[in-house]
Amino acid sequence: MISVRVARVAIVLSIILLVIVLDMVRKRRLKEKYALIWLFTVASMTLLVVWQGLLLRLTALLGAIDPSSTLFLFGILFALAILLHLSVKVSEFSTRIRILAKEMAMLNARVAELSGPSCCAPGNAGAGPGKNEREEGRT
Amino acid sequence: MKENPRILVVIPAFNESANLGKVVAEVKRDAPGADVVVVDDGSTDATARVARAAGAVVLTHPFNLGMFEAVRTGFVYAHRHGYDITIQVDADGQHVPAEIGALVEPIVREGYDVVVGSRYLGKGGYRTPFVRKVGILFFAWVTSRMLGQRITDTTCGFRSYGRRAILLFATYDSTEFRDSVGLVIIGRAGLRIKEIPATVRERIGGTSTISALKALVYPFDFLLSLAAVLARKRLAVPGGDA
Repeated sequence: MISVRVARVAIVLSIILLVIVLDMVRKRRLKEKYALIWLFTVASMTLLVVWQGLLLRLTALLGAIDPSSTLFLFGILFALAILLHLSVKVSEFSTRIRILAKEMAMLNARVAELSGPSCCAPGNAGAGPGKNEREEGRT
Repeated sequence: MKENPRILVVIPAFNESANLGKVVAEVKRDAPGADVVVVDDGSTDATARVARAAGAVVLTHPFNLGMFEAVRTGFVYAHRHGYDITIQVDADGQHVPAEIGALVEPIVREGYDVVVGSRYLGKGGYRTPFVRKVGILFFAWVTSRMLGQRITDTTCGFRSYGRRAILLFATYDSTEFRDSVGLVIIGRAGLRIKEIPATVRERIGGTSTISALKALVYPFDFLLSLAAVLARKRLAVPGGDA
């Protein structure tokens, strides 16, 4: 058995996390799509704490001695799952940004071609947004 | 391949305003039938202006995407504008535009899809630092084994590509096309590759873009990409007219 105190701490932390996540969704700082994995984490951790029988059986199954290590293990596993999920998303978005940047290059060239030599040619040094934020030396 | 192919010279450029004007002028002089596109890969200097002044079409990336992504943007342009052959030339003046004819020849006459210039096939004059030479030999060896064909120089950016290769590069979005792995993808897709000797001049200005850290990570990046490519299905390329 985990002590009543450990169970209480775990439940309080879960509730805090739940409130933070829901509040961020409410304020539209976190999209529902990305909140789901967090809510699933909170729900699972709470389940493990509340349903002691399950926790004990899992602990025996894993060969762990202290049920609280089982809690830690699952906490870490969920954190890793979220990190992996984010890495996948970063890859996905970097691909999209790359494709958009290329399309922009094509469109800008087309616009410059259509509007004559004097107008709005992109790429002059200093022009355009974000020139200072660009990463250097990646060619 | 038809007798008078439409040729596009793609020059990827990142902060190359120093040499670019000369390079574009030289290409226009030595390959008069070809159109020239400079892909400005998010330069902070006057690269785009210099290229435009020299008479090239300029495609400007809003931020730096890396050398090979610049080349691929050129392929997308070539594909959409219906070019038959794309030539890749470095912006730093290391390649010799007078050799473009030799690079096009195997595509037009012999039906090859990709022609790769090599520094190590006879035409001498290029000294490689030892560490880099070891790396190049390693990549060349692995690539040759994968392709079942001898390749001596996988990193040289002086290449030509026919219609089927243009289609492949323009439509299959992958960051793995660069250098050696790109050749493996091309070979696995059933495209024919030929290597010919190319002159590579000593760099006129500027330094090489490869940092120490990147040089250290590069081999692992290469092996991971290669493994991923080998684990996937081969790409199917529609026939084109090659």
